[in-house]
Amino acid sequence: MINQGALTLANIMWLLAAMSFVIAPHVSHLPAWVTATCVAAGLWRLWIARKALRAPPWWLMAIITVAITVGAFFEYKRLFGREVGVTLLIVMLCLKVLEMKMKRDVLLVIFLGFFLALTNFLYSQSIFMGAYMFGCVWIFIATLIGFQRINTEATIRERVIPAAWLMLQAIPMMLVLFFLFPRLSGPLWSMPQENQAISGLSDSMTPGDISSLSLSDAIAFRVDFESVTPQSQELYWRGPVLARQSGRGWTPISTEERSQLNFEKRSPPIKYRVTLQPHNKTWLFALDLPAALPAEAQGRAFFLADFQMRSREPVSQLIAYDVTSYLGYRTLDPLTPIDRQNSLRYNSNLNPRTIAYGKKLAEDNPDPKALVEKLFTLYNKEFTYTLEPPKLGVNSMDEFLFETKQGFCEHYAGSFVLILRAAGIPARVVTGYQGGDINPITKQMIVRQSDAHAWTEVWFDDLGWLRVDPTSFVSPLRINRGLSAAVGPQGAFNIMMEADKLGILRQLRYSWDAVNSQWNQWVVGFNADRQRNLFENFGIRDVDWRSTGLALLIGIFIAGGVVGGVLFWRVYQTQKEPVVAAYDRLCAKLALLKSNTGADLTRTPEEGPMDFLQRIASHHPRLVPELKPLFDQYIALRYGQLQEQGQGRGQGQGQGRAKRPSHRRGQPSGHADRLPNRTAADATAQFILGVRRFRTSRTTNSTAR
Amino acid sequence: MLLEKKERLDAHSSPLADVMARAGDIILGKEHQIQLAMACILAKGHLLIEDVPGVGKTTLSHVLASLLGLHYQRIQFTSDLLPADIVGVSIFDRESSTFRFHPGPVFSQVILADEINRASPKAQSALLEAMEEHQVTADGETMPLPTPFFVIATQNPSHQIGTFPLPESQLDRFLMRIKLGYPNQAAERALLKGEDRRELIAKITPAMTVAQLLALQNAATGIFVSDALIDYVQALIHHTRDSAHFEMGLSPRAGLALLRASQAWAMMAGRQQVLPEDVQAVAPSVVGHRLRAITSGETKILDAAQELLRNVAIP
Repeated sequence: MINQGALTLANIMWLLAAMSFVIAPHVSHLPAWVTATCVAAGLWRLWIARKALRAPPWWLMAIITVAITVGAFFEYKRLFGREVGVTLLIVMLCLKVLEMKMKRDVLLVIFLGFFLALTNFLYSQSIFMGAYMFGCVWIFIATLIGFQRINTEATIRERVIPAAWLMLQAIPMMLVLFFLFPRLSGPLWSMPQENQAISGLSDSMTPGDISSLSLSDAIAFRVDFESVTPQSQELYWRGPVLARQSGRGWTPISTEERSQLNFEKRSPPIKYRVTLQPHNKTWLFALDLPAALPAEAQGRAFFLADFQMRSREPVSQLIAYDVTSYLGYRTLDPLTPIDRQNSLRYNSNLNPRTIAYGKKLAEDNPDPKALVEKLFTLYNKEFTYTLEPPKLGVNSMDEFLFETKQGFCEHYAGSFVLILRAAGIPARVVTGYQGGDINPITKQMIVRQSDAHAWTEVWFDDLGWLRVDPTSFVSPLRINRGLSAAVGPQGAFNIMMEADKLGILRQLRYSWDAVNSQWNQWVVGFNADRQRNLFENFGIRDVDWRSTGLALLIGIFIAGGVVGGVLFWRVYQTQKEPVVAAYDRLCAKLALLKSNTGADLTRTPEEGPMDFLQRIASHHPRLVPELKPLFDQYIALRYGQLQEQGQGRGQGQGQGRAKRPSHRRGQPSGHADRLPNRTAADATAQFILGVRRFRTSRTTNSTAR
Repeated sequence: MLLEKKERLDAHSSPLADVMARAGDIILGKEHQIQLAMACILAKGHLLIEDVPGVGKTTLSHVLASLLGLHYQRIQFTSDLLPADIVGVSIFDRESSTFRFHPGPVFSQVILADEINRASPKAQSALLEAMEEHQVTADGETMPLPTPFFVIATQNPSHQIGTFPLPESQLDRFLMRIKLGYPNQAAERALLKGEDRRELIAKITPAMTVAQLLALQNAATGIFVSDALIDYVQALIHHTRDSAHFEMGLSPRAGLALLRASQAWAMMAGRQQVLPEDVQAVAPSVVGHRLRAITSGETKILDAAQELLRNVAIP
């Protein structure tokens, strides 16, 4: 029972600190007035604790509660959902802190605090958040320990260390619950998502967009190749296809859905598994061109006619899928008139010089392939690749092609398609990712946002859609060795990485990524499929929620048993010496005696050996001749001088010599000095043996030896 | 109990057993209390006997002092008793023209402080120094007291009229406080039929010499105390400090007292080592007057000790 004394200033401060820790990550997405209310409630509580004042009256609390609920409704325009739910939980909890008076209130606040810690995972599931929440739980347990003290204040050590022990003891149970709790997939369990801006590729392309993206080191997805890892220049991860020129930029055209892509396979298949970070778009990335939709995504994924792979729902959580791609291919679909029209249309109001150039080029080179050759020479000789090109005006392509001649993939892809279209050759911009680096630790390929790229596809009547990457004309390094090789240290990108000659930072980055990948694979991405795989590894097939539930129960029993057993064993080891343990066994044997008068012969905790023997003697006199020597031995070992000399390891060793009991117990101290351990150890062994041989069913004339 | 008592007598057909037997002949039906009182003396402690008037408190103290062959003085405490009445007084000697110190009754081996709680705190405190330090300071001069020296005090329950409750500091100086209680029917019958107790006391011859008593006292301190037993004593003390049932925890002095008394008790039982049972036997008397149960009045104090023993497991 927590009385008023437990609501001390120190305890309250611990609680408030714990609350601050758990609420802190939420502050970024809480309305300012909610944060202010929480801080005010905390300060008010602190003031109450300092001055030993009363909690605010119930009517005031009621008014505040209603006001906050109304405020939350106006803020979010609803009362259900993640944001408003978390907001209300936080602010109500702060109010509860304000009005708590009894143990019940404290427990409620602390348990809701644990729940609040959980809500942070609705926003971030990173390793850092996991560690942070561990810390929060730790502080809350330490706080709880403080509130359970009755008379004295707990010091920091007395809070933190037992709390850490409690958490350590909980780990087996945590693992069992994590791995065995039935994973259900369905709308009930999916995360409530609201629109969030996550950086990544975008739906449109205007020069400048991808420049900023290039600087982002965030991971787009990871790839595990089953056998061969293709060369860097073959790695084109297709994203949105931008076929329409609108204004100065490029945007996609809606095309029809396909369940299968129609192409001729010209190379061996490449099998790999993509682990895609949530990006809140429907794009699913695959190498050109994937043979079939991922088996895992059956019904939830589809192809588009322009070879994109899409998901029906935005990718809001980490997903993984297996794909097989053929890097060498020839598309077989004919170019429909509408496609042709779409792939030739351009904005004739802008970039007159480029259009004129394209038309002239077409006159000079009737063969499209020759025309592309020509452009290759042009780009290769006169243009430079840079991530920081000069700003361009309205006729951006004119300026780029004829004046600045500096740019990156967007500029090349955009200008290339425009020239081709002006020349009457169907072409389109394709965006996505190019390349990726291999983590030497996990052998996993990491594709980052900085690998975002734009390239083109050109229609040749005999070849179908063919990928042409004008950037590679200018800077083959960008395609062969990645962005950092192409830009060099003068670029804004990762000067630090360049300065890292020994590769320590790089190594660290790879290690960290390896850890993150494991976290994603085993913690965040541990879904029903992975659980099934886990069971299959142990030879259990066809798992459903019943079998996982059963496994969970068994696991809980085992984990609880193991932890409980270890704890009990530790207590037993530290507190019980062999003599005491043997005496306890003797008492346990005697407790089984049914006295003829019906009295309970269990030794009470405060009953000394002589009193106990006396009590047994009064009920079972026939046992006395056998018990008396045992009790005498016990008294001599535990309370006599023998015990003093036999302390330490000697007693433990004595058990090994149990077969050779000697009768030197109670010898004069002069003798005992010479063989102190031996005597005590032998006496101990003899006593233990005697206890082991003692049977309550024996009659008086049988003896222990 | 029979088994134990027989053992005890077998082990000590000695002056000690003699003292016990002869005291039992005079104080009828109070063997346990006599044993406790004897243990208290063997543990070099002061004894406080508390009960209503007329149950034989003074008789017990007289009997013990006489049987042990000690020089004893009796001080009847009254509300107008002055410290000088206890310690002594300096009187001007005309012949030698100096002050001469006339030692008070405190200068004896046993002091029978009768009805100690009838005196004012001032007089009571005069005994304090003597009890703890075994010395007396008068007129700026410190004088040692004889050996052995102990105080056997009697007092009436504090709810009786005209009593000054002993201050806690002084209570703590008594190793044991025992209660006599009314004699049982058989003992009372024997008492009524028998000789006058005063005459019996007058006839007592010492059963023990001072040297024997000192030897026994020294032997008691040599009774072996194991770590396991210290664990138990500590568990008891800590329980009084942690539990919400007691007003104040036991002092380290109380812990020492408990151990000394247990040693003496074990020796009287003829054992070479102290057992938890010894601690339990003396604990109510040693701890009873030092512990105050929070919910109780005077009558429950002994219960507080029992409560303590019941709630602490023997480690």
